[in-house]
Amino acid sequence: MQKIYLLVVMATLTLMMSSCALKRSSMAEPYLNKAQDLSSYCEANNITNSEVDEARELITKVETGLKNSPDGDDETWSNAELASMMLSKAINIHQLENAKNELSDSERKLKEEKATLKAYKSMLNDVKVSKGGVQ
Amino acid sequence: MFSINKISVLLLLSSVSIFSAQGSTSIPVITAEEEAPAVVEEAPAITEEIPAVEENVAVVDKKNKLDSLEIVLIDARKMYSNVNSPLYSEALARVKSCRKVEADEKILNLIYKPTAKFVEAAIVELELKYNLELLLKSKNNRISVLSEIHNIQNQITAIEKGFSSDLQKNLEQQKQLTEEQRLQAEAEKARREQLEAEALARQQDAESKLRNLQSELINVKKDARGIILSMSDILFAVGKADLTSDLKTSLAKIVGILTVYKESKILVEGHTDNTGSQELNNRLSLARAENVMNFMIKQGLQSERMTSKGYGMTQPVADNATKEGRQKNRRVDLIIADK
Repeated sequence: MQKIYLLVVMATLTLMMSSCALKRSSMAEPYLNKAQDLSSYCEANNITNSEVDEARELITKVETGLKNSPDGDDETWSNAELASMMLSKAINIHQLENAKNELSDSERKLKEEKATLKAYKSMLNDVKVSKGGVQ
Repeated sequence: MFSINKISVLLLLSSVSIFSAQGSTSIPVITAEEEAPAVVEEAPAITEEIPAVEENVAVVDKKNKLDSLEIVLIDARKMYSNVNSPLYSEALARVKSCRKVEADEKILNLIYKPTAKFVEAAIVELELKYNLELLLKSKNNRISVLSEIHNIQNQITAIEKGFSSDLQKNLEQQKQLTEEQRLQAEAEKARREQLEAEALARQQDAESKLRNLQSELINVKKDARGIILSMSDILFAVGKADLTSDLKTSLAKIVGILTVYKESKILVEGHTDNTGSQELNNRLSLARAENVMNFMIKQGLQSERMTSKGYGMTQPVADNATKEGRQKNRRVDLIIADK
């Protein structure tokens, strides 16, 4: 009885593992595609750092892995996801830096424009007074 | 074959991965068209607190680093609490998944690095969104300030335009007034010229008519003082100031002429020769002059146009040694002068 039970459990687990393997292989491709798109974006925008290089190595590794084993394995989809994540992070860091610069520039302009506004308020007051005491 | 523990970990990771692959927000969708930055800068360090990902460290160290990752992640969430990060929840779930399999070195080695990268990406996303939020606020503030500047500029323009309009109106009124004054002045000048022309015509007519009075008894001449009509004393009773009828007739004609020639003043002067006392001659000359003046006033001349004076023997026009000379000196002169 115990053997039969064990066999049933093993069979069930084997089926589940097969299912997981299929899912993993089907999951590796979207991450790979995304990682490839992000890599192209980094190249087009000259975004380079060690993580981008590492992500590209991983992409190559995933591409090779899928060629050798179209169903993929744990490491393949994990690498695909990791490459995608590293590239997203690199792009976000790049955008973060740009956002900080733009924010700094915007705050500087805001300060200047507030000074201009103050001057215009004063000018308006002068014009009203010169017009004849209209307040 | 697989152990139960390993199978459960794989199932757990699969579920997380499915979530990651299917969820559109798990990884920011970044396309070159919509997000391509204009300037490429060197990537900054996000935070020094994020533990470095080292694949080959011991399992014990990885467990400690998981603790640090979780703390840093939660701290970042607190720091940027006003923004949402889809990656944050997923990163936290991954850290917790790692904790569940931390007893299995092989599994931990497999999932540790992606989890750490996920945490880093989540923190970067939080910081990015926080800065984008600040940027949006800053831009909105600028729009508000620029809008206020624009409104004030419009107010200033409107006031200056109104002021300019008032000035223009005043200038036009002034110009119109000046034009009216110019026209009035021209009309006045024309009227004055016409009056002067009429007065000149009347003067010339009067002179012409007065010349026609020239006779043995009335001498008409013109000098700097005006037209002088000298009337002989024959027109007066001897030694008296009464007017004879002939003199009255002549004076009436003169009054008729001078009534029209109203721009003139008339001075009546009485003169005598040197016969008799000076006092007598003075009285006689004045009386004759006044009688002539009064007669002319009665005939209709305005009294304000006339004056009379008696000079006695002081202003002879001929030699008093001869009879003809003395006769010429006994006279009444009407000096008709322009006003």
